[in-house]
Amino acid sequence: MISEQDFQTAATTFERLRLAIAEVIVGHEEIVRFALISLLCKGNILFEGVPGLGKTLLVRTLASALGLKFSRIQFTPDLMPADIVGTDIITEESGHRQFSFAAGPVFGNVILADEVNRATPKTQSALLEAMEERTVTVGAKTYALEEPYIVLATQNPIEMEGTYPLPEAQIDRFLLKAEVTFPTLDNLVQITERNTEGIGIQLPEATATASDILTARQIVRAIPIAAALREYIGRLVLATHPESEYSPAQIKEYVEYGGSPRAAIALVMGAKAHAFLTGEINVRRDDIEAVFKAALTHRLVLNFRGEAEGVSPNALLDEVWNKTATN
Amino acid sequence: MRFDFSRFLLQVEHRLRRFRGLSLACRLLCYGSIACVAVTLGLRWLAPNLAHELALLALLIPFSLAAAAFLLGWSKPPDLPHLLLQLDDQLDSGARISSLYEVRTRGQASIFREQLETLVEAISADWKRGITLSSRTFGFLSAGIAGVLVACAILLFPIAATSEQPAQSEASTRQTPMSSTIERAQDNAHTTSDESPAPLELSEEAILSQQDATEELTQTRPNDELSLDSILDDLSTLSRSQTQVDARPTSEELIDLAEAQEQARQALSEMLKDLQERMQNNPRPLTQQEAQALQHQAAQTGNPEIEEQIDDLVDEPNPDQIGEKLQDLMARLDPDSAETETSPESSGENGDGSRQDTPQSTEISGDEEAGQRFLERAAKQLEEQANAETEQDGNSHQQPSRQDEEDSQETSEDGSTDVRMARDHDDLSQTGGEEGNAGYSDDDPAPGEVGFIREEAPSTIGAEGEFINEFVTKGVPVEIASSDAQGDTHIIDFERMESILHERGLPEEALDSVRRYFELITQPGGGS
Repeated sequence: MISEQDFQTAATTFERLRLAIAEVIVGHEEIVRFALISLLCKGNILFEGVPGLGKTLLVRTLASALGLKFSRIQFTPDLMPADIVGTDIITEESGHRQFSFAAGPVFGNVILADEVNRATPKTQSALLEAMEERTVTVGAKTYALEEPYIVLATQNPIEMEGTYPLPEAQIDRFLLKAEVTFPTLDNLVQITERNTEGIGIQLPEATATASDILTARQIVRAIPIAAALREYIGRLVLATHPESEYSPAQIKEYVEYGGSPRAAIALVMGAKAHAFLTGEINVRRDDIEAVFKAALTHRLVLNFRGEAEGVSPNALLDEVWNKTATN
Repeated sequence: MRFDFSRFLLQVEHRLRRFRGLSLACRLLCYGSIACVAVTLGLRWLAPNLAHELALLALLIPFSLAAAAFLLGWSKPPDLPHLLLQLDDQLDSGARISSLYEVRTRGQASIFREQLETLVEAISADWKRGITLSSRTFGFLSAGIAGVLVACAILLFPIAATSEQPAQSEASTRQTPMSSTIERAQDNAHTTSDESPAPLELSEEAILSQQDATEELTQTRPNDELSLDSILDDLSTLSRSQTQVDARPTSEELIDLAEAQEQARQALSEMLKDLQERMQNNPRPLTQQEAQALQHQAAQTGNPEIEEQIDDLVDEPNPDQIGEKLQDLMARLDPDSAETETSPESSGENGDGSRQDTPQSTEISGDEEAGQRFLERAAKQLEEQANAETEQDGNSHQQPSRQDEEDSQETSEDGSTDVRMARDHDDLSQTGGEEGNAGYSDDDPAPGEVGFIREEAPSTIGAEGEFINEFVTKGVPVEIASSDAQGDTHIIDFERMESILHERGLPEEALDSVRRYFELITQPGGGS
């Protein structure tokens, strides 16, 4: 049973973690919060933004602050699935040759899948099992991944050359998707200052252990949420489906597929984690709103008309949020 | 003291039920009041005689609907999760109440339950502001009350109107012949007043007195005892009471009343005079129409003695006695005329055409003089004709026909004939035949004439028209065979025929035969 002491400890730990990250990453508070939410919810997160915005640095800082095993996978078009998950190789020991498994970079605690949409779909799908089941199967053997485990992927906007859109099955496995925007002037000045003066950027020391993270995950799951809010979340997700009675007109017009049940789970868990990070002891409507777009924006599949007219999923989600009543 | 969340939930639930019932009740009160107004309007226009106790039942519509709605709203159990989340939103409590309800429902024992209970306890002190009646509910309530008041006003308005005039309502609900007769009599009285040069203005007191008289008449006699005589008595009583009522008020009204009565007396006098002339020509009892007209006119004079005399006259079957009573009545109504009648030498002096100055005996003597003058003129013409015959031999048989041709030419020539007729007429007036200006002309009809047919004799009736006109007394009707009769279908009596026959030079024996023929056909049962 979770005690109040555990709750306070976990809350303090994650506050320290946030501050440690903030010392390296200028701005992007929301991005950092989404990363922590994903960590607390046993999920994965997808960052989208043009190169050079600090996506990789953010992930490395998080991994450093957590004191966990960090792996970075740079996705390229010629990257093969074995390059990710690992492969059996012949080894010779005491005059005997045998196959032994050489684990890939997917084996770690914090995985950075950099520019994940530059690899082919076949390679991209190599992460599916690790992301969802936290296992890796090579040949006839399945290997369990060590907890806490989180995949933080970055991708360039799809309009850029040499990119392959992520398959819907894979993209649905990301708990949240955060758009990394260009820093403001003040933030840009700070970024240049930190990178050009002194000793440069120093990754933070570990401020949390794997045990702290696992305890915090239990606390987050215990945060109560009202049944009416669960129903509200269900209506929100259903409202993203064009065939649903709750969906507004724009969803019916521009959306091919809406959010999956994973989206509802992401909303509930994200709201709980958000409540935890903000020091609340129950889920509020504000918590749901905070993670609503991040949990649903990558799960909306636009139809041809939506794609042709360049409709923004975030605009559609705004419509869903405004048109769905609490009660 | 530990916070009792269950009790808190019960209070919230009761308040919500109560308010939900009230909200629904107010809404249906509004709709019911609209229906109530519609029903009351329908009752008022479609069933105005419906007892107002029954009509008041319509007021139960909105209240019964509201009561049923309240019970319905109260009986339906609330959806507590949504209710509590709504309460959280109203109190801006961050879904703590609903979260605590969820934790308690699941039976989880965690740190969050205790913390939530602590927070909810702090919120619960002011929880009632989270469940209130909306302004829309108050709007429905106001509209419903207004609708009910409107319905009450619609229902009570006709009741108040009828209670203001209970006597009139009772009288109108009876609708007896007596009341209708009295109403007609009142209408006649008002009509007579309107016809007078200065219409009478009844004061409020006079109207009330008249209403009292009407009520007295309607209440003193049962409906089944009504008869024509009783109705006529009531008529005269009402006229008398109205006369008395009219005589009450101001001096101006008294003057107007006196003028009206004087005009009624004059009209009655002229009616009697006409009647006397007719009775002289054809002695007979009075017809019922004449009797009623006289009685009605006598009632307008406001003189009970005259009314009694008229009643005696009407009841008199003997024509001779009728003549005498007519004479007495005229003497009472017009003493100057009576003096003129008693002094024959004054008859010739009063030739100014005034009706009061032309007694019937003078008219008769005037007729005779006109006849004698006509005979003299005819004899003169015959003499001139004889002289012409002596001068023109063999033309004696043609002369009358030539004279006829001249007569016919004169008749066809409007101007010459009319001039001679007018001259003759003036002669009659100057010699005492003042009937032509007796006051009865098309331009000046006599007031109060009822039942008399007044027709001017045609100016020409064939070739003998002028002779007839010589003997037709102005103001005395010429009997017409039918309503669509033309000028050549007049029925003439022997006196008129005798003039024509004299003009034609009929022998006396033949004239006697014609007289006997007329006497024979004018006797009762003889035709004509």
